[in-house]
Amino acid sequence: MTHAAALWLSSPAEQLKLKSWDTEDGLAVAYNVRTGDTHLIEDMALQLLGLIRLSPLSVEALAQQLASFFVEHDDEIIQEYVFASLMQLKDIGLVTDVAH
Amino acid sequence: MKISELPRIELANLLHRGELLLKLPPFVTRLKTNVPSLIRDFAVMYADFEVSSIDAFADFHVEIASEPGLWRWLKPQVRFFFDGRPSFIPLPTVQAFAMLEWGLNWCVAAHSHQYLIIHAAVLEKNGKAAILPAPPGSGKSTLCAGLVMRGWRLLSDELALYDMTTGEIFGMSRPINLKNRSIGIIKQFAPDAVLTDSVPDTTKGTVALLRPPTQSAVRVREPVRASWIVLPKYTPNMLPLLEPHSKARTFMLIAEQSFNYDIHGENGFEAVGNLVDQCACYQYTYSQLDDAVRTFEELCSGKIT
Repeated sequence: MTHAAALWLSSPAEQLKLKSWDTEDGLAVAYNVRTGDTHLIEDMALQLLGLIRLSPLSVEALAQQLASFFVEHDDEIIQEYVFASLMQLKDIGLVTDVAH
Repeated sequence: MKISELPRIELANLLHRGELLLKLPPFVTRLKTNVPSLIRDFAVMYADFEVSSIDAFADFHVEIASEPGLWRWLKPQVRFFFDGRPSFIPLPTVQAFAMLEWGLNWCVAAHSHQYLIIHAAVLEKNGKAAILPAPPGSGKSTLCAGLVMRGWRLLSDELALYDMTTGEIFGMSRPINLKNRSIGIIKQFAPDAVLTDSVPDTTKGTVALLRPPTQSAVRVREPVRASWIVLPKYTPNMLPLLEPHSKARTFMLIAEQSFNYDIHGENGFEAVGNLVDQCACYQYTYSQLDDAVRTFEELCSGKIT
């Protein structure tokens, strides 16, 4: 599945606990209730999880909403970065992708 | 009654019969041993701790016994028993007291899941407490010993017992385990420090244990609420540097340094989050104990925020 053909959704709230602080490094921690694992995540990942918590979104939609995070203005590069972040989150079981 | 108030012969008899119940709040440990060197070290190291009545409930039943048979004469060894069952491999008799301490650590870490058990030192002064979580080699015990010898109350050198409901931390105030170069550093830094003989060739190198100050033992029942989490980092020839440390990274370190974080699941996640919330988090690089004492005094007096 290419990233253009997928919608992304985070784990349900009862399965994913997030903790963040208003600190410069923007780092946060995420607890996967299903696996019992705790993960250190970056600001971008935290924002992504917040955006797809309530309803699934495509990479394109996410890239648009997060554009202000990037110095880079090339949509394709931003989408690739968002996709790579989503794949990392998928690897640790915090998000899932479904066919569009 | 305190250990130091027991005549030595009575202490030895109680230990021989397994009738010595040592108060290590929040626990009580029943001890039994027939090892003379252990009785001697125990009497000195736990002099200021109280005993419970013989019919009190004991959380842990611990025995350190000489290995029987010919080996007793050729290569004397001792073995640790927990609830009457042999645990761990035997060690040379000269390591008996260190074995008791390591064994007690195991008893607590493996069985006391009513607490989140963090591998960390905990110190208190003027009602404010610092947690010093750290992997081996970071200089945690040396720093802890140095601060304790300059008036900080020792709660723990190894195990911070975090009550996840109240946010209070207990520590048992047990002897500080010094290793290798730290032993000489503390002897020089605090000539009045009371240590066991240095024991070479243990799995941790040469070790010696430092007796907790009387005031720490007397106040062993008093838990603390932490104000700071300080990650010590001993670096030779470095000027002291106290820097704010990422809250999220501190969270991960506390989780990694907890013996039973995984057991507590979501409650553990919430508890560590609450602990990190309530504390200012720092990394402290140091090479001299005098510098460290100054830095922690400034922290305590509010000169550093």
